[in-house]
Amino acid sequence: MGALTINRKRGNDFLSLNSFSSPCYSPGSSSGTDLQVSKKPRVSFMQNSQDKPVDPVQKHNTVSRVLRYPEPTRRFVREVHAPCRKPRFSLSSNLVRETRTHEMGNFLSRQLEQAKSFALESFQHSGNAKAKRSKDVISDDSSVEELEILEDGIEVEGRSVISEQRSLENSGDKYLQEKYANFANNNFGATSSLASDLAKQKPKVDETGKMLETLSVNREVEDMGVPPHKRMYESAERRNSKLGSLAFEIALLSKKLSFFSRPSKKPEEDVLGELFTPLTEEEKAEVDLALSYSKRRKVLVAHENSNIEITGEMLQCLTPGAWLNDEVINVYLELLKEREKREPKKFLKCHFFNTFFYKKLIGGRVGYDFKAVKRWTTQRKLGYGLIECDKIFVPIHKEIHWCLAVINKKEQKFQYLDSLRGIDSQVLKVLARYFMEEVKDKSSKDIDISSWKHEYVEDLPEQENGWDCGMFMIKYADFYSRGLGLCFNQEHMPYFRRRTAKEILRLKAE
Amino acid sequence: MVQEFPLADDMLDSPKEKWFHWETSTTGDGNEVFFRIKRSTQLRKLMNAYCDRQSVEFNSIAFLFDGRRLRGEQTPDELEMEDGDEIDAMLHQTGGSIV
Repeated sequence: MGALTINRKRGNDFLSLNSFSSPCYSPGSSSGTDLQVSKKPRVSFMQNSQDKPVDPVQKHNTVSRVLRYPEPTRRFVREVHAPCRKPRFSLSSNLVRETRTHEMGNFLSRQLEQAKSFALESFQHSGNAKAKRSKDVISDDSSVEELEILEDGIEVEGRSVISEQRSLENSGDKYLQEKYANFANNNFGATSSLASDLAKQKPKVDETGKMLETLSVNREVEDMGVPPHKRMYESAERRNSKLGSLAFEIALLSKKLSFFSRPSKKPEEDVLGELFTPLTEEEKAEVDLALSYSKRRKVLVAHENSNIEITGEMLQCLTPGAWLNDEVINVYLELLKEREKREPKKFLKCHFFNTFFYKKLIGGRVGYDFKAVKRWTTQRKLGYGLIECDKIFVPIHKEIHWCLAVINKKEQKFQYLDSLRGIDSQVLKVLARYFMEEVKDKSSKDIDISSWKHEYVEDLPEQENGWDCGMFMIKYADFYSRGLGLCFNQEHMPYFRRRTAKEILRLKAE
Repeated sequence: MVQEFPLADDMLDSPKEKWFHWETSTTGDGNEVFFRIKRSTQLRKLMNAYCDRQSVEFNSIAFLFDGRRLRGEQTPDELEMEDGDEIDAMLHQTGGSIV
């Protein structure tokens, strides 16, 4: 920042110097800098044959360099005073274009000319306007204004954002433009983090200076009569690396921007795709084999954690038209839990009771027996407490029908899902009582569930036959544990049956 | 109704005896059966004895200890069971619709 500040001041000097008419360049001029300018032999420097060693600091100081060669820069005097606010950022636009067209030889020379003039302009701007006009310049663009207000310290970064944006607009790159528009609409959290990323762009202003250096140098060479096309080509070559790095930066930033604008849409699409991924031929064959009669007596998979072994006969309940049994449901619910442990960020924190839980809970003589299930959910057994879970799923077995009850702590309600739209108020009352007692028993806290709603979910996919209720039930659990709505229907059941068979065979739910 | 079925050969080693409290909520009559076995005896023996007494098929029952399924090869020691612990014998469930 310090070097930059110097540049600014010197830039002003330089400008005022330029505005002088030629007679002012007399050795006896009052200004010290003027003296230096007129004394310095500009040719000798170019050819590196001068007797005075170049001051290393001055060598990199654009302004001092420019000051040494006033005459060529005078060519731009008119342009400096022109009311040319619009193209003042065009340097970078030219850069962008040049990255694309730098291979075209003829075109290059014209580009170079333009680049030079624009470079000078933009340099003038960065020197002069910064001090006086920074505020109104920045208010041209809403996104950067935001930066300006919130972080006074990053003025330069904001500026580089502007030039970046302008350059993109000029180059007509619609996609990036769009992204930048998104950027403007983003909240400050994203903006500021991006801005800090853009801090790397800071050197750009310096770069402009360096660019100017080489440009003015080139002008000298032309005046000297050295083959101009060769020099120009070389200088262009020299800039290629710079342009390359700029192009890379642009690409990088646009990627970053697209990353910022994405999270709202992409994941959902991914998840929806994931929900209905068709089985591959290989998987289909695997499922068909497992469901074949020959595998009936064979233990196909053993789930170690739950000690459940799935034989071919049990898995056959997943063929279309068959009723689901408790083994398959319990294994699948275990897999859902493992899935959540595998990717805790993607899924809600859930607990899945097995199909026997509710039966035990209401097994006592009074229709409610907390003690019978008290030890099912100790911290030691589960590794977590039920109170920590967003949702607790309780499969309900009613003689020959499967339903699902959910203790939805996240939304503070008890839910009952019956694919045949049945209603059982007893279930939710029992679960409410259980949950209260469980929380008190395990964490000795009183939880107030009096305000929790008892909801009989009506807007749900309905079963249209006499065998799919188990499948509906586990899919309710699957979708709810993802935090999704129940966006499936009866038509998906044959697919879900095969998919569930595959997931059980692989002992991994997706 | 409480029935007690000590397994004869296990009765001989008295110090490490183990009593289990069985409840079959499957039948809904609160049937309880007591067994005693050594802590190192595989539970399969006990499960078979239970199914014999109750005249049910072994495959139709799921045995649970604190909500977890039991395998026949497991022993009370392995499961850190204590005297008086309960094993639930649950009838397997199936379902597809109402009626």
